[in-house]
Amino acid sequence: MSMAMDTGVLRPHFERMQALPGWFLPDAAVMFMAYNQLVADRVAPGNTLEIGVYHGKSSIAVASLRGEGGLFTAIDVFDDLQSRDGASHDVGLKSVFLANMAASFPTLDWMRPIAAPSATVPAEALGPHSFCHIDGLHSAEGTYSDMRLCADVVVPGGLVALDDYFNQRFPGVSEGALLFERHHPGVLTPVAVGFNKVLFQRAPESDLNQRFACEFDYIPTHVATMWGQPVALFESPIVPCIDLDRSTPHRLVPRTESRLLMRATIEPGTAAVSATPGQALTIPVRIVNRTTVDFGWGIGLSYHLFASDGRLVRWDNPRSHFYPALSPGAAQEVDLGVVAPEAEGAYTLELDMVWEGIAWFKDKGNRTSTVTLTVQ
Amino acid sequence: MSANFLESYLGAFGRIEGWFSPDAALLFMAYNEVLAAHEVAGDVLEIGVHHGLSTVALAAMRREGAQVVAIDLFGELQAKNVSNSGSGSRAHFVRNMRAFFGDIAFLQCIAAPSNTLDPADLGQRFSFCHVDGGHTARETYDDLDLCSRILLPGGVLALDDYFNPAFPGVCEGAIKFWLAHDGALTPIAAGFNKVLFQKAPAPFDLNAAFTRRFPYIPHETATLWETPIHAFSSLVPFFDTRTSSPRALLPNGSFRMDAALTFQSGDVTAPGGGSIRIPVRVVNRSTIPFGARPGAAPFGLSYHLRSDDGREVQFNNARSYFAPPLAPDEERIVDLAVDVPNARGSYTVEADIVWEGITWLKDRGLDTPSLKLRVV
Repeated sequence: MSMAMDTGVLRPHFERMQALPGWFLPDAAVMFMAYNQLVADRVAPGNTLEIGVYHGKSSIAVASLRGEGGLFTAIDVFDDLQSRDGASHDVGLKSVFLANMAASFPTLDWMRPIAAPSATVPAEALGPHSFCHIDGLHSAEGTYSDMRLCADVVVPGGLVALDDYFNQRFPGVSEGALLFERHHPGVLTPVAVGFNKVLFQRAPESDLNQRFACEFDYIPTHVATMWGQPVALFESPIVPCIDLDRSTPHRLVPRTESRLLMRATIEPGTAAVSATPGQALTIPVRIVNRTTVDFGWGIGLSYHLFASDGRLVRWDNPRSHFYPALSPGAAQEVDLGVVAPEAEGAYTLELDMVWEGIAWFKDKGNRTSTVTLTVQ
Repeated sequence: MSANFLESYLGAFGRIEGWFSPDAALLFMAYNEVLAAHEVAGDVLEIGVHHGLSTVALAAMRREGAQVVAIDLFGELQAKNVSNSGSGSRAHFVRNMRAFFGDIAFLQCIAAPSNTLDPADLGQRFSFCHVDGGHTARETYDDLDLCSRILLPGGVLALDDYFNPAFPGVCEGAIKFWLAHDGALTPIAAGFNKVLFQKAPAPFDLNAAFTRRFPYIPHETATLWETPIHAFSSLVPFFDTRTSSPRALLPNGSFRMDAALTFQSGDVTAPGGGSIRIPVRVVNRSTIPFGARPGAAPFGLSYHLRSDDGREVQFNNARSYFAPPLAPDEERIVDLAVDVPNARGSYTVEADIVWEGITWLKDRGLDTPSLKLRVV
């Protein structure tokens, strides 16, 4: 089956998205695409819908998820209703949105912009959809209304993504969603949380996240519990897991292992330190990033603690992170936070890098460094 | 308590393990100071103390002679930690408390699951409770129930991780508590991973009193549980932590927020619709960096758009964020992204810097340059 945008790979679209203003992370786009790919085995991709499009940053991704012959519906108040005083200022939001979409796709004959508050759009006017993204009004009432609209139009097995559920500036989003669940229990079930989005499925498959773990075993996830259901929790960037030059919106391809070499130079500023029992101290460590990805959130410096006889005392210890993110090839000095053990004696700190949810660099063949710790 | 206690305490962050920020500590102290001024000053309680990073703040801000009750599973009851919400160490906790207070006779440690405690045993004697224990919906609900019973009228409850996607149960449990006990707790403030509530009936308007006492602290207004709350994004720069104490916070008189902005081009002409970029030279004349650190309020270059007759067309426009951060006295050329209006005519583009959620620098006296934008 041919799909929208299947003629092109992801990289140029991601570069275009990155250039646009808005709060949509490319990792969220990958999460959308991965789950859309999964459910496509059982739910044919059809129409897609977005409520609240702004400049089109996320619309590029959501539109690309539609199936052959499918429409992309963009609901937004756009210009005429944007101003709070009700006057028509026509600052060009709709034209900017249309221009950005036109720059991303060869034609737009499949796009249906609706300039109206979403609460005034009847479900019957929209028809069935396989994927919906809610990023409109962030009040409890607005969220409730948008979830009801999307629950009405999404097909069984289809997906609904909700923005800003965990954003303290918009507490109404979680309130509206939980009120929706209270009044319509089980209609939409959470399946994934990450990158400022919650992904719900209508009439969920009990094994969706198991299938995710099999199909995308190269994408790190954790498990959280939401609305009484286990959900996949994405806590690390996932764009670096994807080969943007070979992937399409409907078929993600992992980066080859050779391009994901987990390599870093770890140079402690001292070979030995001493401390009193339980004392917290810092050790300056110079890190050189020898990978092809940034060391941002999710990749940190830590250590393994060994007794003098080589016995492991504690493998998992606190992390120190990079600020600003450390680019490939660049070096940065990091203060590694260490808490001395309670028992006096000699210890060895083995300094290691960790990519949360993926691996310790040591386990991937990277050379570690050691510092002797004397507790007295 | 030593004269520089607050400075010493804030300096200990990073050395004591825990997910608590200096801003959150100051948030607690500021609201506690308002409570004390209104004679709501009882004992303080914390559920989930870990190594004591936040307990030190609570203990330091309590009234003279008041007790601190610390409830935790500590190391000995970790088998009952159903939500894996931390694994504290009693030895680390006690040592850290002793390091700050010496004699800790005021401290009562209770090693038990909080949901096994009887409110009658604890007594209704607390003016401040910090809930940072189990993070499931059930545990959160039970802890809110417990604390709402033992707080004095007007006392404050601080809840951790309401907006943390790794723990969706906190928000769920809290909203279920609200729906079951509407009016028992009134939302007051959000910020730094905490939400503050006040026990009803409140003898005074807490946020009005906060604003009178700390008029120099900027905040946004959000709506939580259908109630307007203060939403904070930054506190540390606004207090003089050297001269302040945990019970008496003083403003930072040397804090300065200013910049020099210069357009690098003359007036511009552009066709309607679409976006253009105008380079602007930015010099940071503030005492803090213009940054975009994850989790903190970012600084961005933006603009206000007016029509030829001076009427405001759109105040809030796209941002260009400072990444990497621009340090005090550093300068950089930043491309200002401007959305060109649809309608032909002459407009004024007024450059400004926004500290998201806190303020526009124009409102703090920034000299903002303007240029003409002619749309053809």
